[in-house]
Amino acid sequence: MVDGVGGQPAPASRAWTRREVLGAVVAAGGLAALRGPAALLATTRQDLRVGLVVPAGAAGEAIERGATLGAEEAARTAELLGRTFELVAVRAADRAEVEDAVRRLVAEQSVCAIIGGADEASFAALSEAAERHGVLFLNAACADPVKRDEHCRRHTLHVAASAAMYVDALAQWLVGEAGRRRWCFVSAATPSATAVYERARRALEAQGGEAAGRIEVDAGTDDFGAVLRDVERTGADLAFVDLAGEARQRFLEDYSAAAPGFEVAGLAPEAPGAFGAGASGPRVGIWPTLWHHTLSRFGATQLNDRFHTRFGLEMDALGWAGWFAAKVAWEAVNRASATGGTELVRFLESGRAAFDGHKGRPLSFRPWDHQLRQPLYLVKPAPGPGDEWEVVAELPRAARGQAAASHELLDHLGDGEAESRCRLAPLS
Amino acid sequence: MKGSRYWRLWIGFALTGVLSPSAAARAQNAPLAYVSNERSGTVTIINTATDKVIGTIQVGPGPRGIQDSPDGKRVYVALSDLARTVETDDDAIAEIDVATGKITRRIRAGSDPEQFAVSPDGRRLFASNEDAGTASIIDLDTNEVIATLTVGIEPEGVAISPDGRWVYVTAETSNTVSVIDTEANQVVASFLVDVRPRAATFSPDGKRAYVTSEISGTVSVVDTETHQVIETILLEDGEAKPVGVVVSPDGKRVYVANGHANSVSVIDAETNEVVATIPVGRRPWGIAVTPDGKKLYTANGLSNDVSVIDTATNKVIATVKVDGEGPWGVAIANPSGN
Repeated sequence: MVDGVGGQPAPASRAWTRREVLGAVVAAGGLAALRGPAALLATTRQDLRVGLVVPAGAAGEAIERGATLGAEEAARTAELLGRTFELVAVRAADRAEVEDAVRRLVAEQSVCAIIGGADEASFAALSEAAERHGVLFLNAACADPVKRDEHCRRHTLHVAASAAMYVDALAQWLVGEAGRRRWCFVSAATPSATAVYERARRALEAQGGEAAGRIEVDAGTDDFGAVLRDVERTGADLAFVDLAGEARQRFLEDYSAAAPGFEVAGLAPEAPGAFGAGASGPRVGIWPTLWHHTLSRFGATQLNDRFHTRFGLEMDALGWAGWFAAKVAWEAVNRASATGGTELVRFLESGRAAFDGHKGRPLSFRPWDHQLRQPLYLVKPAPGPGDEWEVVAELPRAARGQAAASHELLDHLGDGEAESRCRLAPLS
Repeated sequence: MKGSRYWRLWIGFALTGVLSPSAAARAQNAPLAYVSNERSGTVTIINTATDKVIGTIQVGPGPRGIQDSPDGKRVYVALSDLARTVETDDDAIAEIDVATGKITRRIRAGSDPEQFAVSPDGRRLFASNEDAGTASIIDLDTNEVIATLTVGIEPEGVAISPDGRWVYVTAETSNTVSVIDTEANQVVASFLVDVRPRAATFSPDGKRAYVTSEISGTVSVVDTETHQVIETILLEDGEAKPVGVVVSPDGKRVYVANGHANSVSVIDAETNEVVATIPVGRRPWGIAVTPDGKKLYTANGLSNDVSVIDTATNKVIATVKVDGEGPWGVAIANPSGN
C-alpha cells in the first residue's frame, strides 16, 4: 500500500487493521534501509506523481495514511480523466537522506509535489531541498513558529496550522465564550516556546483578557506540583500549557491529581490519535486541532468513513493533513495545467485556488506566508466515563448578521500580512 | 438484514397511516409539490394552487432525492439509513402513487442512494450511490439493477437529458461529472467542474447543462454536445453555497438554491448573468418549478419550511411550514398534464 498507490484499485470495502497498516509501513522502511539511504520504492505506472518524505515513526505513518487515501482518491479521479496519479513514499532519517530523496523524486519520478514535515528537522530539510530543486513542498505537520520563520520560502506551503492559528482559536473561544480571561503561561525556556508565549499573549489581550504570569519550565522537570501551586498563586483562571511530549504528559497527570481551581488549555502536538477513543494520557483540558473523527458536517462523515474503511482507524489531524496535501497536489496540477513547482506556487498563491477539505468553506493559501486558511476545532473530554473526546467549538466564528467573505473570516486565525514575519512578495 | 424489520414497519404505516392528498385538491387538478423531509422520514404534499399542505406520507428513513415520473402519476423518493457503508433494506427508492398517496413499491438502488433521475420514457432510473462511488441503473419494469457504474468519489447529483441519451452524475470529492451513455450503459466521458459539485440539470432543449459547485459558489455551464464546460458563473462573489438547480420550462431562466447562503439566484440563460438574488428560508436545498413556470418551490432544511417564489416578480409569496424535519428535496407532479 505504500508504493504504487495509484496503480492499485481502491479496496473500498476492506477494513484495514492497525497491525496491517503498521506492518506494511515497517516493511517499506526496511526496504528503504536495504537499498541505502532514502531508497525509492518501486512505482509501476507513469503520469502524475506526488512524493512523501517522512522519518520513521508514528507521525510519519499517520501522514502517510492520509496521503495514501488522498492519492488513491486522486488516482480514481485521474483514471476517469484518462490519467494516473501515484504516491511515492520514502523514509528519510536525516538531512542528507532528505536531500537525496528529494533529488531523486524530482529527477527520477518527476513528482509534482512533496508532502512531509513530520517533525521540525524533517520540515527544515524538506523546505531547503524543495527550494533547491524547485518542487512544491506541502508541510503537513510542523507548526513551530521559529522553524517556519527560518524557512519562509517560495516553494514551501503549509497545510498544517500555524501556532498563531491555534492560539487565536483558543483565545477567541476561551475568552469570548468560556469566560477564561486570566491566563498563566506554562512553557519551556526555548525560542519556539517564547515565540508562542508572545503570540498567545497578544491573542489573549486582543480578546480582552490578561496575562497573569509566565512560568518557564526547566528541561527534565518531572514534578509539576510546584508549578501548579505557582499558577494558582497568580490568580489565573486558566493555565496555558505549551510543553513538549513527556513534560506535557507529566503536567497533565499532576494537574488531574491535584484538581486545582483553574482550567487548562494550550497547544498539543498533533500526535497520531491524540484525541481519538482510547488515546493515552489524562483526559483533561481544551485543545485545538485540525480535524476530529467525530466531525460530521460538510461531508466530514463520508471522509471519516472512507478513512476508517481504508485503515480501520479514526482519521486524526495528521491523517487529514496528509489526505488534504495529496488532494491539493492533484487538484493544483489539474487546475493550473502545470506540474512545475513555480507554476503550481503561482496558482496556489492566486485567488483562483480554493479547495474542499470537508470543512464547509473554500480553503486557500495566504499569499504572504503560504499558510492554508482553514477552520480549527477545539476538543475536550466528552462527558461520562468513556474515553472519547468531543468537539466543543469550530473557530473562527462568523459574527452574527455579518456575511464576511470566507477568506476574510478565516484570516481571523493566524498572522495577518502586517504581523507575519514571513512576507513573500507575490509571484508576478 | 437489520433493516427488514424497519421496512415492514414503514410499509405498514404507509399503507395504513397515510394522510393522503384530499379529494378536493385532486379535483382541482393542480400540480402537487412533494417535499422530502430527511430527518422525519416523511414526504409533505403541497397543493400548488393554494400553497397549503394537503398531506404527509411516512416513507422511511432519510428521504432525500425526490423526482416525479414523466407522466406525473408517480413520485420516487430516495431513502437511506444511517449505516452508510453497507446496503440494507432501508436503502431504496420508494414509489408513491400520486392518485392515492400510497407507497406502491420499493426499488433497490444500491447502497445509500441520494439523488437520481428518471428516463423520459419512465422505464429506467439512474441513482447515485454516495458511499460506494457508483451509479446504479434500474429497470423500472423489472425492479432490477441492470448496471452499476464506477463514477467519481461521493457521487451526488444526477440529471438526464430531455432526449434520455445522457446522464450526468456529479461527484463531490472528485469535482467531476461522469457522463453515462444510456444506450451503452457506460460512462463514456468525465470532466472537471468547480469544487464540490452537488447537482446538475439540463436545459429543456438539451443543449446546455448546469452544474452547481457548493464550495466554489459557482454554476458551470456545459455544452452537452462536447461535454465541456464553456462558462462558469460566480454567485454572490463566491459566497453562495449552490446546491439544487432547475431551469424554467421556457429555458430562459436558471434557478439555483444557495443552501447555507439562504437565497435563490436567478440566472439569465441567454447571458449567463445573475439577474436576481432572492432571500428565502434557511438552507434551501432542493428546488423545483411548476410546469407553467410561474412558481418556484425551495425545500429549506433548517427552517423546516418551503419558500414559494413568484417568478414574475422574483419575490417570496408564501412560506409553507412542513409537518416534518429537514426538508431536503422537492418535486412537482402534474398528473393532469395541465
